[in-house]
Amino acid sequence: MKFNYKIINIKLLLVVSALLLFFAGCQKLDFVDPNGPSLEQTTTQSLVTGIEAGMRIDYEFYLRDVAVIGREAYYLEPSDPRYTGTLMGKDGTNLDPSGFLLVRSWGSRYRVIRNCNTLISRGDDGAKGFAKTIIAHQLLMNLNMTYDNGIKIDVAGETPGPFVGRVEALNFISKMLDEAKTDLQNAGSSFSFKLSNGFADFNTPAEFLKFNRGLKARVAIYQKKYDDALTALSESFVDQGASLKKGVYLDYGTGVGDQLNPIYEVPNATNIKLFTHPSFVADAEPGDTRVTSKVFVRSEPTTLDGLTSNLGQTVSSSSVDPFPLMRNEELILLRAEANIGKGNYGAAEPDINFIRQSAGLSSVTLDANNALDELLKQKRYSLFLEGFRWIDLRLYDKLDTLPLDRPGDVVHKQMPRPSTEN
Amino acid sequence: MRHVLTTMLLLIFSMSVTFAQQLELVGRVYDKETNENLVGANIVVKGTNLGTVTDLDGKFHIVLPNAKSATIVVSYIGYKTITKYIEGNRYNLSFGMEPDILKTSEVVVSGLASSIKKENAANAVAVVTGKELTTVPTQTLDQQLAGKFAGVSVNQNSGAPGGGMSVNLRGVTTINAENQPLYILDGVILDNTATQSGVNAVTLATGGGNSNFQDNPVNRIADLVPDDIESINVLKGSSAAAIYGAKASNGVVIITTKHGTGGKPTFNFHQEFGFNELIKKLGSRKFTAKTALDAFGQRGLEEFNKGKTYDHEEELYGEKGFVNQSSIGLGGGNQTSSYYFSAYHRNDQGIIKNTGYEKQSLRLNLTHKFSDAIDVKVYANYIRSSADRGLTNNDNSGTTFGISLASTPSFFNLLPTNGVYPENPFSASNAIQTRDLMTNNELVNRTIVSGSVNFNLVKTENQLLDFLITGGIDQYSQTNKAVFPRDLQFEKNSSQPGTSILGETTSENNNLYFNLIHNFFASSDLNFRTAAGVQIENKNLNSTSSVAEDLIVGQENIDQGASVTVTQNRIIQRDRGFFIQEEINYLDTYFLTGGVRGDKSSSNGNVDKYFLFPKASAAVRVSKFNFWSGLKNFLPEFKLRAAFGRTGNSPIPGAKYSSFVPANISGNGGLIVATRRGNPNIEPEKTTEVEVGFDATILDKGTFEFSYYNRDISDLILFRDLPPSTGFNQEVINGGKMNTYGFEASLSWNFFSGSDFNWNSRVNYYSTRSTITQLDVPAFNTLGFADVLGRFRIEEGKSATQIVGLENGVLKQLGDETPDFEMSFINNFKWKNFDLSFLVHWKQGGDVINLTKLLTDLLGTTPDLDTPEGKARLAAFGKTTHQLIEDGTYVKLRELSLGYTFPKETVQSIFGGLFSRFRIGVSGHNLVAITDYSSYDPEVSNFGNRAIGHSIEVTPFPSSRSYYFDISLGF
Repeated sequence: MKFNYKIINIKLLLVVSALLLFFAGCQKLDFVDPNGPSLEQTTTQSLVTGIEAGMRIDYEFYLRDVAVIGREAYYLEPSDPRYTGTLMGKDGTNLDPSGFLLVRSWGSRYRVIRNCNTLISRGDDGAKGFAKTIIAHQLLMNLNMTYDNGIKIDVAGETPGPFVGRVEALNFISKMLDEAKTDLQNAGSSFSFKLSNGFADFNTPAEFLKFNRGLKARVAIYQKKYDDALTALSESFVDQGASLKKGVYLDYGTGVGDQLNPIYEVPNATNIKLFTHPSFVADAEPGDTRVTSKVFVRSEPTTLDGLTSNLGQTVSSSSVDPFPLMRNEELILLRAEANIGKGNYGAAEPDINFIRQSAGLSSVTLDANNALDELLKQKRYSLFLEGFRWIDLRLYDKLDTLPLDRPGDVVHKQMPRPSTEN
Repeated sequence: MRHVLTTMLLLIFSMSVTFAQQLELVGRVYDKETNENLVGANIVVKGTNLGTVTDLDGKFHIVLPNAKSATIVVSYIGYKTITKYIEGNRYNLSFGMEPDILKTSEVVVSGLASSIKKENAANAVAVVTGKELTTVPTQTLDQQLAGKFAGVSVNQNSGAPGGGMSVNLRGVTTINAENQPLYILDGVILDNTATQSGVNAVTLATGGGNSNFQDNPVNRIADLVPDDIESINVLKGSSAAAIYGAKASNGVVIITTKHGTGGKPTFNFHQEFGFNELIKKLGSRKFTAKTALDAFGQRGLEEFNKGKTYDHEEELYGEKGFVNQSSIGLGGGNQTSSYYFSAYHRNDQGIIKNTGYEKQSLRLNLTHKFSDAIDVKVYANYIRSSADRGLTNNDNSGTTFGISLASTPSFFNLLPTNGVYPENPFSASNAIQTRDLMTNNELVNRTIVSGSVNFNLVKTENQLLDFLITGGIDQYSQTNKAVFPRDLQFEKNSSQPGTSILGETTSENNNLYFNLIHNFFASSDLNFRTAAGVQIENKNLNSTSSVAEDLIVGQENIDQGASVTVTQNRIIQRDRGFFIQEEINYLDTYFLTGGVRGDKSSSNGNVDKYFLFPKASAAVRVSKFNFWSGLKNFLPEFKLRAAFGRTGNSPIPGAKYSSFVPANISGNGGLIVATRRGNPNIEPEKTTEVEVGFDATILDKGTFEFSYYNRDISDLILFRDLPPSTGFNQEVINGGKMNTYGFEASLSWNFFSGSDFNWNSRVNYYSTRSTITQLDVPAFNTLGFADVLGRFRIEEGKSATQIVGLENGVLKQLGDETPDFEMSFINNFKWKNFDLSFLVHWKQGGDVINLTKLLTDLLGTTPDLDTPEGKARLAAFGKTTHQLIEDGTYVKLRELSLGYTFPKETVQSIFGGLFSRFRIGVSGHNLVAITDYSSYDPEVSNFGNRAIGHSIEVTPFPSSRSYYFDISLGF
């Protein structure tokens, strides 16, 4: 065994190493997000489409909340006890301020608003009018949930402002709609972007403004500003001559990145969850075609958590059926509501009776004693599961007229502020 | 001190005087017990680089110039080192080596390119050899780690075949960043991603209260074959792992595979046959006509009146799954080259019909010494694994086996008649039908290749300079295929019947290290080792998932559906680093180490900034001092050690980006803001650890190791919930601090060591605690579904792993998932030709949120629902939460193995000299589990691998136990 200095060709080794290092190490450490575009890569069109698509995200939670609390439906979900528990005030339980029933829809509405604010900062007048109208709509959805607990309206910046009460929130929404109106009036004859099929009849600034005014009327009713409501309605698409179904819809489809209608369920499937509340059929006038067209009787009743129903619903007819945001039928009823609010029962009668006749019912005469109840009944049957019953009854302090299914159940007046907002 | 002076004087003396003579030593190294030659044993002159290795006959020959005497150090892996002073030429030295039962001569990792004898180490490094690892076969490597090391907690996420295990070193280190250790196999960083299978499209588990995926994924460390492993070094804390830098906060697991050794070739053949079975059944509620009516309505009563009951649990989980595992290992070599080849096949059938796991692996390891100056090592491994994992865990669609079972009363028949499955009126699905007709397969093809080249640049008597290049590639493709045909009850009832899910993931990890290692003997008693290097580490993962719905009858391909949803996610992370480390050994008594690693990464907000991770440690072998002589008999070895180190944890890739995500409608392509807001200033988390401890050898019979560690984790990466009114759900911030500390103790004892009877035993104890010491954001919830269902909550001043819940409207801490302590008891007995070993693992405390029971309560199927306790529990739901949180204490007989090795002569005569070793045995894994936990297994995680919040159970794949019959044959 001998030992010697073993110096191999160090120069060669260094060259080889340097080359290896160079090839392995020269990849950049600074690269763009491989998974998604940045703000700079968005366009007016992509933001508008994103807004429309985003309006559908988690909207089903809103619809279920309103339907279950308003005792239009049961949501019998074996995997989650909250639909039949806290949502229905079982044993007096309160709504969870951190629960998904509240937070999911609430957050997704503000997410759409974030997109809208991005669009406002860079879009043309048409885009601004569109974005502001949608902001108003999305804020209204959240205010409908929290009601007297209020919402946040100052959300365009990095840090949102404080909660504001219901009155201030409604004023803000109303103002937002009016600003949008101005923008739309300045927007020329056509939009610089394409809208989805859900806005097929409202895809020019002038037509879109009619939707804006419909919303304005709805807000005015919530403010009990009946003259404002009637003015707005006159500029909306309310029309006894048009289809009751005419309106603005959320479009659904099977395309890539699209969504399916979440309200639709295969009618006779064992696993359906959204059941019609038995009182909807029990309270109906004989011959009301809206009951037969929207509700069917299943062969087997389903029971969960002490709630039983054998009634399915067919508000949507397929998984790609568009779901309404605002229909002519609602606007006609809003006109009646405004007139009743003003005490003009005679003026409300044609609209109420038009709706009654459309449903195969005979006409009624309205007076101070029956008008409001008649209106609420027509709204209940015309707008079944479309997200109104609970809100309408609350507006007139009539939540105590809702049926209670189990001893100890309560009807929530409103949802708490989400715990994550504080 | 006097000793030091003497040494220095001697040193000066020996340097100034030249002896014109040489010392020639010839001898043999052998196993003292068996008298077999040891090939490749090291013979080194103490304090120098002079030395040699034994040849194929165990012989050595060494000539030392300029010496007439020398101190010779003889070492061989697994044997006690012998140090001997020799004067004058000797031609028949013989060194009989004794097995190192107490493992004090074991070598442990001390740096990126260095190792140290355990008795000299200043860190608690846990080592386990391949033999200890594979006492009882398991499906995956991570299952083998449970209970084997102090400070290493292993939690199985579910019983589904094919893995899904969380390995946690020294407790919680993070809230949201990577929570699994860094795995390094023969120099290559392994990818350990857990890619979701995509079955969420059917289970809709993320659709309700929680948006975290719950697909029960496998983390890819599961692919490794335990039989190939020579040893595993576990660097548990930052003080040991600092040199691995920005990805080492969860510790580092360094796996070395087997090498061939010189001498005659070795051959091993193992065959296992066995079966898996359900550990525990929960039972089902016994109904009366009244309870059937109350819980399941009129239809329930009708079914009840048919008068029959069915054991759905037995039908679904009652399979005896057959297991068969074969492996061969072949190794050999000579003084310049070695080879190791292995082939492995395992086939496991699960306790649910149509579930199972199959794995094949081939490995070839080669080493070659081109000259005295150049050493090359190459490792190549190909693995194919296929897992059929069923459909379990949480859902929001009534489709998983467990949810369906929980909804179905025992009086309803789910079994098919004439091939027709009854429509289950009580659930969205018929679990038996789903089990029989669905597919959920995960197929992985993986290639791991690594290697190293060592150039010896300088070698003198007291200096050694090596240039070491190591690198490797870990590449795999994973295909997740899940098919739910149209005939399934829930598909038939779907608006788009028939679902086919295809996930394709490709991953490539590569790393390349350049190291310079300088070893310098300043004197025979003073040794400096300096190492420095640069690191290049890249990760690239590309995952696509397609979900096709409304499938054409009988078709599975993605293009046979009426609607297709496609998602893709890429993770690219590039890290660049450097390190320098100095180790000093003085008199084999004092050991000092200092070093620093710098890392920059594409995941950081600032990609150009190097984050520094320093380390320092010191150890003193007190037993070497004179004053110890009185204690020498009782404690022959006693070492005090202290270490400090810092490591990092990368921000999750993509955390710095604020991006838009696609949202399409009516065929128009749209973009909407992502729910997470990016943070351009994001940095790695930093974990700074101080560890102190001692190692003692007691009476030459046992060793005792004790460590205490205390770590401060700063810049915690938090997914802070943003007020939803911002339009975002959350953002990623560095915003908090956490402190953890813990104790680890291990006692090994060699009770008997004789020719007929051997008994050695090891007890491990470990515990850890954590506290959130600072939180720059309000307290927030992590995993869980709702306050009233129990959830994890990060709160300043509280344990990081606390569980909170609503008690009559008040949010309170109700539990903690961190156990009080864990212990394990390992015993090995040998009597004549029989061997017996077992491992008992005891976890004390650690709470689990049992939502399986809540679901069966609400769905009316819990066995005790008609008792006062059951009624009270059901009535309490919504008002209180504590009834959902259970103590997860368990004692498990993890491993039991009993074998008989035939005498060598008998074997040789049976096999005509072909084989020399033949062992038969029986063994079992998780044979006994003692626990008060009321569901299947407190070892569970609905959300997969989680730093915090794994202890949530929602109808998991139940755990199984395994029995084996083993045959092992070799020469």
